[in-house]
Amino acid sequence: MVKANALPRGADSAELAEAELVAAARRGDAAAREALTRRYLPDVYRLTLRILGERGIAEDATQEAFVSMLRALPGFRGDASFRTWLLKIAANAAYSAGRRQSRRHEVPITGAALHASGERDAASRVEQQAELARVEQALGALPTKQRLAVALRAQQGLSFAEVGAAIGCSEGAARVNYHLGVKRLRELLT
Amino acid sequence: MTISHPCDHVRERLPELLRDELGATERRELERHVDGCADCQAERRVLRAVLDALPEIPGTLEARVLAAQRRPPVRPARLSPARLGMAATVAAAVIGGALMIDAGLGRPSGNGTVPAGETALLPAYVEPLVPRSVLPELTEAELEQLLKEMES
Repeated sequence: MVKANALPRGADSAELAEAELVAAARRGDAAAREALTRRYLPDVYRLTLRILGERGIAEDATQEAFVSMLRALPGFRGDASFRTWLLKIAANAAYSAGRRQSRRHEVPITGAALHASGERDAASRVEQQAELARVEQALGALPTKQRLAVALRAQQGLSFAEVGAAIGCSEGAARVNYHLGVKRLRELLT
Repeated sequence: MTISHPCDHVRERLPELLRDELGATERRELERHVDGCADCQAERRVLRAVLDALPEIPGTLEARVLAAQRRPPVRPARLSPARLGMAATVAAAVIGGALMIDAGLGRPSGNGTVPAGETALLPAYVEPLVPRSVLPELTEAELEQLLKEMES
């Protein structure tokens, strides 16, 4: 259990739970480690997919990121949030995987909305798929940092400080990349 | 960055609005602005499209990652001190042999016999197992392999 005075003032229940999970995972608690992994798997996978653009390589990078997380966990001091710290590890894993592959592809056409469409008719699905393809194509046309800034901010809800930490730039640069990316998307999609 | 224009503030918060992460008061204020601002509506439409394009998570990925975390870390194979010593002895013998061969010692004379007065360090001219230049670079794994070959 984490001491109360080790937690940030005003920490909400989610932050408290996370701080406890991180502390327990650092002590070697397997259940805490798995809970953290489950919690952040979507964030890590989507980041690696945005960087790499190919699902198979992104899955490899995700696995590598979480294994690296375990190795690095004893050194986590809480200077940044755990998620920010983990996403930096994930970005590094993705960049390493990208260097190994030495090639880049467009992000495949996927989408939660498409898969959640359930019983919608075929015509609607085709339209939706076409729209997703258009969005993915537009995102793929952005410079890397703009694409990542938009994806991390709009899709994953990171703050600009967290975006900056994840993609290796300042909070201000993350904000600029995000707004330039959104502006370009508006030109491409409207 | 200073945010002065109302649109600037609203657009900074549009991701939270679309992800339904705002309190009721702030949500109402932002929606009121967006409903009356064509430019912010356009930006909301684009961000909604981006949010809807969120990639799905492969169903098997979680199990795969958890399994990888449970596997013990792969460490380079280590030789026990005894086997390391034996390997060093073998390596020294091979290196020494290679050096002697390189220097012409043990090489058979023209008629295939050892000249009188010379001790045959090797029964006949034999090729070293690996080129002399490579021997100092042998890894532990290669030494292990060498030991196995010597033992078999």
